Amino acid sequence: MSDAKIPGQPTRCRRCLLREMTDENDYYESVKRYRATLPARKRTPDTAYEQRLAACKGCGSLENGTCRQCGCYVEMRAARLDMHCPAKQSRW
Amino acid sequence: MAHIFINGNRSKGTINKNIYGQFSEHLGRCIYDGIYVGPDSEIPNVNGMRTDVVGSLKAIGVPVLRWPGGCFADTYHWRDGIGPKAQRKTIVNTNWGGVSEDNSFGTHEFMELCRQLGCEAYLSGNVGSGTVQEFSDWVEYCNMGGVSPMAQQRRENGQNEPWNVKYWGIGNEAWGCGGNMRAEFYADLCRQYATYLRNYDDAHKIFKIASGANVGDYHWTKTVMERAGRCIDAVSLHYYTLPHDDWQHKGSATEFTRAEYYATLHKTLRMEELVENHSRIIRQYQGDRKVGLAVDEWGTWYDVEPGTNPGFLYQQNAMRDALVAAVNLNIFNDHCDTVCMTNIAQIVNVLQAMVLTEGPRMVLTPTAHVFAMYRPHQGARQLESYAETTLLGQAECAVPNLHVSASSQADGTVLVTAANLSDTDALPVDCLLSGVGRVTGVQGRVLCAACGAHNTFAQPAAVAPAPLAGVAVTDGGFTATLPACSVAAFTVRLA
Repeated sequence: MSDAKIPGQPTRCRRCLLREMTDENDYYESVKRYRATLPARKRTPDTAYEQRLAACKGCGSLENGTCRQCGCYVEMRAARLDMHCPAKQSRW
Repeated sequence: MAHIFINGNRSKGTINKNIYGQFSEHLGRCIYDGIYVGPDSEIPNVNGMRTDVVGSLKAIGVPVLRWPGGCFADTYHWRDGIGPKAQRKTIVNTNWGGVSEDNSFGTHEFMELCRQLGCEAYLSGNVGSGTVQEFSDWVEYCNMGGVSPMAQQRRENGQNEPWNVKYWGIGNEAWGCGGNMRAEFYADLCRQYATYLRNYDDAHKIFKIASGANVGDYHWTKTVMERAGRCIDAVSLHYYTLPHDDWQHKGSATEFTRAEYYATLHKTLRMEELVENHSRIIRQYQGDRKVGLAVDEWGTWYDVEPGTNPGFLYQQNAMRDALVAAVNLNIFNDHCDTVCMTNIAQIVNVLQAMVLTEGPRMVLTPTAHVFAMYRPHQGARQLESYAETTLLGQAECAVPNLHVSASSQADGTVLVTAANLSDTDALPVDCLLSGVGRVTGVQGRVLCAACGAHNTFAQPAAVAPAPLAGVAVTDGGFTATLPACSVAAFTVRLA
């Protein structure tokens, strides 16, 4: 799940989502609020949302909850139904 | 009808092409993903540099590129970024976003980027956490053409000829992220560093730029000039335009009120006062040698786009930003007797960028279009210009409705660039040119849109320049009508 600790550096979770790093930041609270306040017609349904995040977890562009292809927190980008994976070979 | 006066008999000199310089930092997606994707990427590239981004930047005309920071520069150790990539050290970028930095983009890759762009390199050295030896070695590594340990190492890494890098920054924001130094301490340190940044070729003398003031810190400029002015060629200045002074709530790049629009323009106009005051101090202490002012960080700074990593400083770029760019470039043109370089922050995906990317997609910003329209000013002879104006906006944030600059080109044409700052009213202008000959023709191009309009990956040409209709030659010059919230460039042909 996470990269090996870099000697002399704090642990970073390269392939983690924000919800797996809640001890390091409070951004996930913002994610939860954001998703909860999205109108239902704009919000990705729960099952599809989890599928999107699973795809992100398997992507080399994920770092500290951020997609390096677009700069978004993936949990926020994936929450919107009208959004897509920004990679050339789109994962969702 | 507003009048613009261009006086061909008065000039402050040549507009240094480096006034149109850019800044690239290891920050967010500026270097990695924005410019450098690596040679194995599925995104088309040449030696790892995105061909779409490089092609667009070449069209804008980048004369000089500052790297690797910014704050990153004072934690950057250049040896981490040379040699076989598999052996390069992976670090954490503690300044920006806490992401890993594998150093796959180092000195050789940056110089390759400069080669592809056809621009000069401006390397910002590590003073805050480095050593004199480390910095001195970097100059030797880049510029030593003969036999030396550093030159040998460069050759072993595949570069036989020296790059002859001219521009070297002695630290960055030494008053803040570059070491939290007092001006007095930095000035002495600057003298020490400058001593060991050597010329290795008389035909390619290096140009030393001291870390300069934050906004209106005139004590900093005075102290550095007084104590180290004889050791440097320029001193820098950083000034960002924020709609609101609260750094936690700077305002949105695209969703803003009319009051915020005028507040942003009002604040960006402060650049004139800052450039004039810092320039006066430089002239007072420069003695018998010329020292320039390098505004090596400027531009708009908003809240990041919703949902993006706040450490990446990714913001959209609207027509309001085009006006900010036009106003600042006009100011720099008209102070070209002191302003020798500026570097808008930053070139790709960070702050007031030229280019935004998302995966394989790329979009040019309104700011990029202004740089392209102003490109003929690079290296041209500045001409005195004056505009009759009225004031817009609230009293405490008033701005002139019209902002101009002009230059004479080598081909005999005159370029007049003008911005109509009104968000609602078109402005008829009568431009009178004297001392330049008879006007035989005028071609106008304009960038105009609602002040919040911007380009997206779905609509990449929502804001794009177009020919300006209705431009007419008159006995003394030409007339035209500037649409509301617009930037125009007039190429004037003369007999």
